[in-house]
Amino acid sequence: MTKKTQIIVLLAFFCLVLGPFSVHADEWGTITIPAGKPIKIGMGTMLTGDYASLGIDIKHGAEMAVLDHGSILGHSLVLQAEDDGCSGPPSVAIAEKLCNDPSVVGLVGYMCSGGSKPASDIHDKYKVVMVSPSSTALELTARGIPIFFRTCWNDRIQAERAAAFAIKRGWTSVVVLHDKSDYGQSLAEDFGKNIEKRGGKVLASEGLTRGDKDFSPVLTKIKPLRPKLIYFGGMAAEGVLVARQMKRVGLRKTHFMSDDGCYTEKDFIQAGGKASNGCYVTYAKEPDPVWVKRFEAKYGPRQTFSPQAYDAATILMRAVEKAAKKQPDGSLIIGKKALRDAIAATAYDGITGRIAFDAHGDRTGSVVKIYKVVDENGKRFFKQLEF
Amino acid sequence: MSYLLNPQVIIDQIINGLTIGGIYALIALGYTLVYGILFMINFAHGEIFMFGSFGGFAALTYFVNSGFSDTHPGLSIVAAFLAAMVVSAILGALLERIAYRPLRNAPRLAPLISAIGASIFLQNVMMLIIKARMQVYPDIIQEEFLEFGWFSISYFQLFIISGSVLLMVGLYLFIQKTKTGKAMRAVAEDRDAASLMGIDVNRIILITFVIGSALAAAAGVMVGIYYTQIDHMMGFIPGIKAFTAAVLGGIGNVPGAMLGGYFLGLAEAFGVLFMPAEYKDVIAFGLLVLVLIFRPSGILGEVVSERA
Amino acid sequence: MMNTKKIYLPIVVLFLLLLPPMVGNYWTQVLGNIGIYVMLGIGLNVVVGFAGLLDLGYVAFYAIGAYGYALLASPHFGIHIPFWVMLPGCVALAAGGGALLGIPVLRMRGDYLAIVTLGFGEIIRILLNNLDPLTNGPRGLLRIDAPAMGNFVVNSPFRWYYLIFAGIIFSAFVADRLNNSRIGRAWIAMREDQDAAAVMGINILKYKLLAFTIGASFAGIGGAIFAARQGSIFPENFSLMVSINVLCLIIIGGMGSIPGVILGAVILIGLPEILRGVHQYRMLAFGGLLVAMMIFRPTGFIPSARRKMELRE
Repeated sequence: MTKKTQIIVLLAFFCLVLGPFSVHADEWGTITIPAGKPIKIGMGTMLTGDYASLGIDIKHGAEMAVLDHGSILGHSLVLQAEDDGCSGPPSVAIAEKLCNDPSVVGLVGYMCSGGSKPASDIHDKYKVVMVSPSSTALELTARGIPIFFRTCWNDRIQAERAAAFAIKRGWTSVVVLHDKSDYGQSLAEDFGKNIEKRGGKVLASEGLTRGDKDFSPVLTKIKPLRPKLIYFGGMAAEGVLVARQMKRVGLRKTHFMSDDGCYTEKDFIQAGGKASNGCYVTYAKEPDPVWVKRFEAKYGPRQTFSPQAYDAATILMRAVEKAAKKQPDGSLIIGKKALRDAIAATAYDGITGRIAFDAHGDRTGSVVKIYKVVDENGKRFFKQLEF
Repeated sequence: MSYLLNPQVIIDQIINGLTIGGIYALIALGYTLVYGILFMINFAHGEIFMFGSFGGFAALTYFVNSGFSDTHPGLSIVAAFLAAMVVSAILGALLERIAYRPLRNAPRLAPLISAIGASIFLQNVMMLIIKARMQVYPDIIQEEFLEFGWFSISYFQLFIISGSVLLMVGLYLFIQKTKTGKAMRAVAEDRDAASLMGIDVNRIILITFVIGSALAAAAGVMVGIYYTQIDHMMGFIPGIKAFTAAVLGGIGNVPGAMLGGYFLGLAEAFGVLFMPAEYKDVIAFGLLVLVLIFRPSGILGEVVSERA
Repeated sequence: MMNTKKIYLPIVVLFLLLLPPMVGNYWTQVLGNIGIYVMLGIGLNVVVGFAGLLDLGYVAFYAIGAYGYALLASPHFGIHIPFWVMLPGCVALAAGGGALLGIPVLRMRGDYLAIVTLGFGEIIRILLNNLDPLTNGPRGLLRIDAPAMGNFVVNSPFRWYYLIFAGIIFSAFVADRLNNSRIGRAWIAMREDQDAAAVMGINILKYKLLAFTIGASFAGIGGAIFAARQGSIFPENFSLMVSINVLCLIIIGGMGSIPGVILGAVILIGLPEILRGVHQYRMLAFGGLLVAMMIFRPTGFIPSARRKMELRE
């Protein structure tokens, strides 16, 4: 054997031995985590500003999942949470930052649809997966971006369930209010359409101003219409004021119903006082009570989306585990497409129920439940109704 | 238009309008008093209102925690008003001393920019204190209603309407009848001449800030009790609306500010009947722009318009 | 003064041109954000710094530029006019907006003007949020076209950086020429003493209108770039905070001075990115800084040469 053939044979031998370890090239490229370096889970959520308490709750959920999971193939895990301000520009800046960080494998977020929409375009460009715990806008999954998933529901499902419930209760004449936000308006309009589809009547539809506190003029305007139900699409800050001021202007027989934005004990039940009793909201199935106990022991009362954030982070980490290939030198190589496919193939019983995704990234079979604020034995809470 | 044929709607909207109008008027007085003397827009006045609201909140929370409010609910509320007024008065005085007095003879833009800076600063101080979380006034007194057959009025509304009127009448009498009030009018008319007459101009300006701030604080506690939610941004929009009210009535003019406040409150309440509610804020901003273009001296006329 | 400027300017430009490859994608993106604010600052500087008109509704023109481009270059109406065609169009739209606001309000002075422009800015934002059939309301406009030249699409932070850089050079050049022209001198005369300027034969209304219109056109360019770069815009992108931020940066940097605007933008927009941890103290510090600036150094960190001269005399 000449020296040249010796080398070739040697190389062929190495290739055969190391072949299984070397990564078959991923069509979207790969992420390499060097030996001994942590794996970063990115996160975009609101940490300061008006809905910061919701955002911090989301962060706590993901943080707990990361702590529970511990490590992946010998690499420690780090949650890197950034403030997405619940809007476009900061979310885009974070997306550019995290997608260009070589040790970020994927992201939990963003909190609001207004941030997720522009940011998902950037994630799509770099092919970095994102799992949102709380962005419910229909367009997010409808526009066919392969890297977007969510552990919450979409607005359409929520609106359909709420409308079906209202019609079943005989509340056929409704007034639809919303806070003129991306989220609230889409939801409220969808609700109105569903009511009419089921034979009900939408008497009026009005937008409110976020941050305003005086809704009595518009409620006075609604009063002569005598609606059986006022549906509000938006967040708790305004929702609870509508509920309070309905009583004040004399809409005392009209029911009040709202969405997951109002599913928060502190900002809706406590802030609403007696006026919140008897109000209806929609939200997911109650999360696993054992988990809730564990969470509340650690972080105090939960708000809305921490369970969804916990599941989102867990799914992401399980997929990384599946897609990562450990190299002899201890480093990890993760194919971006392989990671995305692993998430898409998720079949897992999370704390919010069975998680599997349809072709668009929406959860299959995720059912929205109806809750009512009740006062039982001196304790006021959201009671899940049979429906 | 059918709304105008419905007397129930009309009466309800008048009550709504007078309630919020009284609050606007109380805040507007602070703008007008300061403008009358210094010819500057105290851009941070909305934040003084906000701090007043939090002062009342802190006091009420303390009374609830100590159990005092269970035995003396009325007294707790009175004490909360006083606490709020003290907080805002001190803040107003500090603001004048630190941010405005050094700039009294500077070009006109300087105090305005300083005021914008102070406004941003105060908002963020409160944001850090409350960790950006909305706070909720404790329910010390349950809201009851006075029923008149086909319409009703809440005790809270009655309280705000009458309370704001009382405070304004008090202020008017103070300015017209007392010696300090007379000095305030003199300084507004001609600062240098007043100074020559032996009036301590700095003291009068400080008093003006203190009075304006205390009135805003009263409005802040009323908002807290009536709407229950308070946050660090709560001063901004009411501040601009109250400024609109002051301009509507003729800035620098005390009865004008009251009139402007009620006018704006009623305009918002009735305006919502004729346009979608999402345009509510356009009413105030639109009125502001229109008045300044077509009748810059306001309904009752600006008291001093020379320096504009 | 002139000589040092001549030496330093090419070095600074060269440095800035070579910066992106050295700092990577993320920081290039941040530099792009700063760059857009520099353009807005240069524009508002014309109104506030040169002409002395306090405009608190500057964001309105930025919004007009952004929505002007986004409506005609996105799937919303299915119209796709190329960026380079729309750019002058956005300038014209924003300038038109400036004139429209300018004509009625220019008789006002100082504080009143500030409040009315603030009201105007808010009205524009509320309209964008509420005129759903036109603007798609709070749901915003998505998938806005990126600028392209043949097959070369401006879609990465690097490419955007150079495009924005070109925009700044152009804006700075125009502003500098304006400042040293007859118009610029008329503005300064008007700023320092309106009545004296009028007596000297300066048509106050004309020059005020000119300042408003020209200032607004810069915002039109900034808006179009912002919309095309972000790829989606929402009414909440155009809140009063943008106007306040731009105003703060020109005051901190130095009213009337272009290097001051750049410094101000770096401090106001860039610093919070570097010091992510102190993010929540940012606005607190700027509020306090504005007050302190007015009392101790009303000309800003880098005052304009002319202002310095004026102060010495």
